[in-house]
Amino acid sequence: MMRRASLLLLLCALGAASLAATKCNPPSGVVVQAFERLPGYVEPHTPGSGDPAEMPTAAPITALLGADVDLNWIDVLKTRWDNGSGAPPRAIIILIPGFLGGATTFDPIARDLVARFNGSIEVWAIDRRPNQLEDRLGGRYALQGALDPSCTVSPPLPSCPIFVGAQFYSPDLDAAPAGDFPGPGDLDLDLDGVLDPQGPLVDGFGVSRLPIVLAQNDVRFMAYWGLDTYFRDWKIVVDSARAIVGSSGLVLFGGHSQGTTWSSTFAAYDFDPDPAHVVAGYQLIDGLILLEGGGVGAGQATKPTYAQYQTSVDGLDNPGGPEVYLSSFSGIPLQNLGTSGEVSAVAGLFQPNEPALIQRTPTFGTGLVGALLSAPSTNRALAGLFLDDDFSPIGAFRASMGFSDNGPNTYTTLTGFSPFYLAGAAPGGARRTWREYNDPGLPTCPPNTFNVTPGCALLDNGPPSVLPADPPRVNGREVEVTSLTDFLLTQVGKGNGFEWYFASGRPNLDFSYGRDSSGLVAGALAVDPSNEGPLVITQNANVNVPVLAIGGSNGLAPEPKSFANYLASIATPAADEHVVILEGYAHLDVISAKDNGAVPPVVDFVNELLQRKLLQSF
Amino acid sequence: MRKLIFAWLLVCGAVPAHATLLVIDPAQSALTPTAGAPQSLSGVIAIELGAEPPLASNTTFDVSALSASASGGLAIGLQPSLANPGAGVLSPTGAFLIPNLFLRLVDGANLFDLTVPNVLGSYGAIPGCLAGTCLQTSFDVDTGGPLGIVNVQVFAAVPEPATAALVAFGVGALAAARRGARRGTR
Repeated sequence: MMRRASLLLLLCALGAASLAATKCNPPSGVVVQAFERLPGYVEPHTPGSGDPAEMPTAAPITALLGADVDLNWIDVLKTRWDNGSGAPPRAIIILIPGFLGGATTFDPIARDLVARFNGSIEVWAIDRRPNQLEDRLGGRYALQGALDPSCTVSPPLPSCPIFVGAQFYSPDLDAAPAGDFPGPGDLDLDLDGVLDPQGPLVDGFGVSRLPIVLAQNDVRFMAYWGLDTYFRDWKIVVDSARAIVGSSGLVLFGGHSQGTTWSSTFAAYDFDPDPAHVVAGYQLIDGLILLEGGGVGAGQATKPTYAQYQTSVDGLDNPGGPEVYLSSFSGIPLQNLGTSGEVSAVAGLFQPNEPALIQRTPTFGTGLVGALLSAPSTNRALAGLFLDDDFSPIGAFRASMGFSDNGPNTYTTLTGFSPFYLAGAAPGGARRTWREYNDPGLPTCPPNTFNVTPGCALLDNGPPSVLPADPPRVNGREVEVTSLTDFLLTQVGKGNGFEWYFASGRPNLDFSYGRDSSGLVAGALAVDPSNEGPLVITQNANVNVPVLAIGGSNGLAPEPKSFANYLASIATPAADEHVVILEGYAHLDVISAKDNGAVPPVVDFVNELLQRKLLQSF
Repeated sequence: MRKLIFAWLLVCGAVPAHATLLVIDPAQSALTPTAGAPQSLSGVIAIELGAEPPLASNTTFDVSALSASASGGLAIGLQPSLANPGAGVLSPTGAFLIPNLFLRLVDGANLFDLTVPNVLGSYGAIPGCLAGTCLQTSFDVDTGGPLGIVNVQVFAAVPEPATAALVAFGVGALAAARRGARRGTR
């Protein structure tokens, strides 16, 4: 514990030293943040269920987690503010991460919120089940050894645990950029300038091994990790929160990005399989919080029948069947992105100005991402170029973190992507470097021009859409609000902000019903009149809890109308629908910004609902 | 004169028109740290109720404006970024609870936001209250610093006409000082 605290303090000091103005806010000694593991819904097919339907555990999973595997657990990252009183919170906010997101993505806003309330609320962020399957050995090794003297010299020595952790995950490609890292050539540990094999590490079982990367057929039980399984997990979390705050306290439920789809569908879910009874998600909570996502939509025009649904599930269950987890996104292999994130975040925090370690990996050294991020960069700049709203072509992966202007930036538009700057090589063989979000020298337009290098960090995106029928559009003057240090911290230590094995097969099938699976329920009842079946999204029109919706004008929910479709589909009175658009915020800023503009609306929402509750019980 | 004070605060944008204004009694209000000398507390508090007493059931009790000052120079107000930083509930017995009171403290050039959980007190015709309506509360704030735990005692009442002129002068000075401090911190 002391070691961890010391590391955090050092991270703060590092941030302050390298960024000049980064502050550790709130003080690290008062925010208490830890994962808690709760027994989850016992899904029968899942390893550890003990049910006759339990599927065999694949050898790689046993190697990763031990012989006595049980995957029916819920990991919840609980953030609270220790004010010394020991009093229970009056409100608990439960948040669901977005597409590919892990629980720690909420770290910055969770810290802000609990500090703002001085102990009277807690924020619980949920790690979906597949996070249990990530082999984080290399990342942990890198972080634990990041202060080793071999890492703190420049250039770092080949024995630096950050390099060793990287080598655990990735063979050295001996690809460009060549240079001085860590010796004459590249990442290879023995400095001989040729392709190195991956390096083994010793895991918690005392076994020396290479990383364990799971194949689709290793996790076929994920055919049963759909909305029903997740929601029953989360109901356990909601019930646990209610037991703490009582009937006079608040349990608020929400999410970020696709997490708004998950959370609003949870509200519409009927947990009681008896068609004569309803236990709806919305009845268990006191309000919904939608962050940068419009909530659940109508679903596909033609929804699978009950028979088609069962056939699809059978297909997912069978070896060689369709993907149960998403293997790639926009050409990026997601497992590689996960492993890269583990070590590149450590490198970005502890070796910010060294050549980018991760540009030598298969993920970032080759393919589409390699092409987009080909300019030789520092560790810190590479993280910025990958995630910043000005350089990332993927709107869902964007935060306003600063800028890089020590090389050419080509304004680029690609079909299906947001416009972005393609960073070229810095002149004179230098590496691209990063200006932090609070750098007073960040370029603006005007006087710069957006499509003339170096472009601008602070662009005015103009007015919102004019006609009610127009689709929402990015608008307003951009801001720079997210600390790269804060963001990188979400990737290391207790958890990470990325889901390596994002369950896609069964959830995508379930999401095809949108906010109404009553046709599927009817099909199930025709087979068994006592059981509403595998997916019971039937209560959306009855959802009547207050809703707080917050978008970013530079994000994916840039105007109030971004939430209109969902809000029109539920029974919440207009007076209880609160919509806030934060000007200039990109998609991730809403949960990662410093002095986050999303915090005051959440505080107001909690205040209002607490007062309403107390009217009944004080 | 009471109307004059009220009108003046209205002009300052601090008090909604339907709020009840109470003046903090410095003789009965203080900040008392575990280490160090007590400081008296003065200023004004505006309260908005959902329904006027006598009450048959709970009603909303909102501290809608606060301008207070400790004798050591600390200025105390509500956090300006929030819509309802002093949202609470009043029971028919006259007891009130503010689950979270969001304060902004200005000490010279330093500005702090402080949330005080579970502020309990009494409101109305309470013992020791010579006016028709008074407010009394007491709570502790753990500063985490050299002052240790600070006990906050507040007794405020609707001002009597005889003291209103003096109060108006004090409130005016207080507000002017606070405005000056705010300018200094921006």
